[in-house]
Amino acid sequence: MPRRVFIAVMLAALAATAASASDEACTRDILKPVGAPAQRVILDALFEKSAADVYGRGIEVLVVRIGLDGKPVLACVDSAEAAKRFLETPIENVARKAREK
Amino acid sequence: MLRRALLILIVLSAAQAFAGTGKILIINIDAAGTGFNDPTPVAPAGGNNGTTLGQQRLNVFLAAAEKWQNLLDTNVDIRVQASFAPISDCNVLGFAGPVSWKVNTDSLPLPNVWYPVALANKFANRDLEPGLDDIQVRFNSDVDKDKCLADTSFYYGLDGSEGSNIDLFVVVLHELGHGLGVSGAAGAPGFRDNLPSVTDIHTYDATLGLRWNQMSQEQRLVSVTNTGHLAWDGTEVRNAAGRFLQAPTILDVAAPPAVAATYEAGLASFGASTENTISGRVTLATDAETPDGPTTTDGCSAFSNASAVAGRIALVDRGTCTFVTKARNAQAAGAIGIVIVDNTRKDCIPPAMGGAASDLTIPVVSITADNGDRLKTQLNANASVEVTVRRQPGQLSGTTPEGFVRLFTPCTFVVGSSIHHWDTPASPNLLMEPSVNSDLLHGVDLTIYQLLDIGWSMPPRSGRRILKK
Repeated sequence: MPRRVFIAVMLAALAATAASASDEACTRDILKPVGAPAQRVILDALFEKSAADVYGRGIEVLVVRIGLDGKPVLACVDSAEAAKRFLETPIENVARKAREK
Repeated sequence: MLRRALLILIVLSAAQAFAGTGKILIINIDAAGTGFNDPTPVAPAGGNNGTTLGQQRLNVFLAAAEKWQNLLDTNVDIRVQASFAPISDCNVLGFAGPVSWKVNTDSLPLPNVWYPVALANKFANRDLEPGLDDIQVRFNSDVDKDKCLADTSFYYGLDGSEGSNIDLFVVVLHELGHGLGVSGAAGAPGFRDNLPSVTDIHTYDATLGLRWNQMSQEQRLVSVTNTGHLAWDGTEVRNAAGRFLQAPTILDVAAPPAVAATYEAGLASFGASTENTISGRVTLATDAETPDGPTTTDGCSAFSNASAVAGRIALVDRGTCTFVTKARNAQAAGAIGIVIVDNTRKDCIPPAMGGAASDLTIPVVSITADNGDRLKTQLNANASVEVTVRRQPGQLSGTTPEGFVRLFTPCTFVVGSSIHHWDTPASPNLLMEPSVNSDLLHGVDLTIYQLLDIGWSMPPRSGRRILKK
């Protein structure tokens, strides 16, 4: 009897371990697409506060410029003012390639 | 024997419970044929075996999510609403953040403090908003269109070989960091309903010796521009900082006495390491006014006073041409190093300088515009300015003298110039710096410790000791 119980317990333990391993392998899920084509969002709208949520949502926005060396320069900001400051500051990182085009 | 078997079962069950069963779910909300479902054929790149544009985008998201998932211990799934869709113009890459914030819900460790919903779910050990997403991430699908960002687009490889493109993997890691809690429930330095976010209670003004939740709004408005002295106060970050940050580089000015001081220096991603100390006299380099460099001090063309610069440390202004160009001109003139003076006073932090040039063998550092003016005043008065470029032992870059890791705090107040980033002098660069630098490795460096400070935990299997740069 004890031996049977032991075997049963060990099998249960192994099953639990196997379940854990397979769970780890299944690290993510993907839902099927449900949305309609997304609307184009403009920069200012990203930071607009709705009447229901006057504080916004703590959103962080990544903006980019292309440097003279052709490489992107990024800035992560959380207001339209900060985004515009980065994009409008006259630094050497202006888009030479864009200008050439 | 039965007792032993039961013990094994309990231990295995406990280990499973501690490991957490929660997953990071990427919820693809794009419509058929768009964004993550874009059927445009592409060649596999850099370990990303997707054969359509949409699949490669999704693979990058999944890889970044898995990276975070393996480091976070929660029993509740974290739902990331993800999309690749048009956003305003080409200059906006994307945005992210927690979908909602919770206060005074089940099991939150601190009362009257806002927590991002994913973390609140972890504490509650259940989904507080079943069916609703926890984090929103959206990227600009137009970036991949021709001429949107000149020749630059997203790079979907997983090997960090983005070249002149934007490494989406790093960017998604960064944005998920915000979504998991490196963020605030209100625009800094404001509080939502007069209550702090969990990050605010770790935001420490080393000048005042106060955390933001201990300050008035008026004090925080001053604090948010206290460059170099606003920092993260958290045990986990403080203990881990030495594993990720090196000693800061400084410009030690020995003479003349009027300007003798230690100046913070910004680093370049090219040129000689500042581990090798150099000392010398500074000379203001001059060059011709050309369309590629319209001033005589921008260092954008061959130096006209090369003989005076030879054997010395050249001083030039930032602007117009690349940092690499200036450094090349200095090296060609025989300079032993170059100091580049910032051309803006909005940040009060010497800029980090990007670029690549294997031919450059001299050290390249930057200083702020104000400090540059001090040196130039002396040089224009024919004073001998003697400096040393070296590392400052006993301190870590991007930290306060007290040892707190600094938060990004430019000296010119602009609402939302996000303090939810590490300060830019941190070296090597960190994932959560505002500029998401191109030399980042694919790790989460100090950010995971920041998340631990706000209440996340790591599964035992991930092992903190393996988390090195």
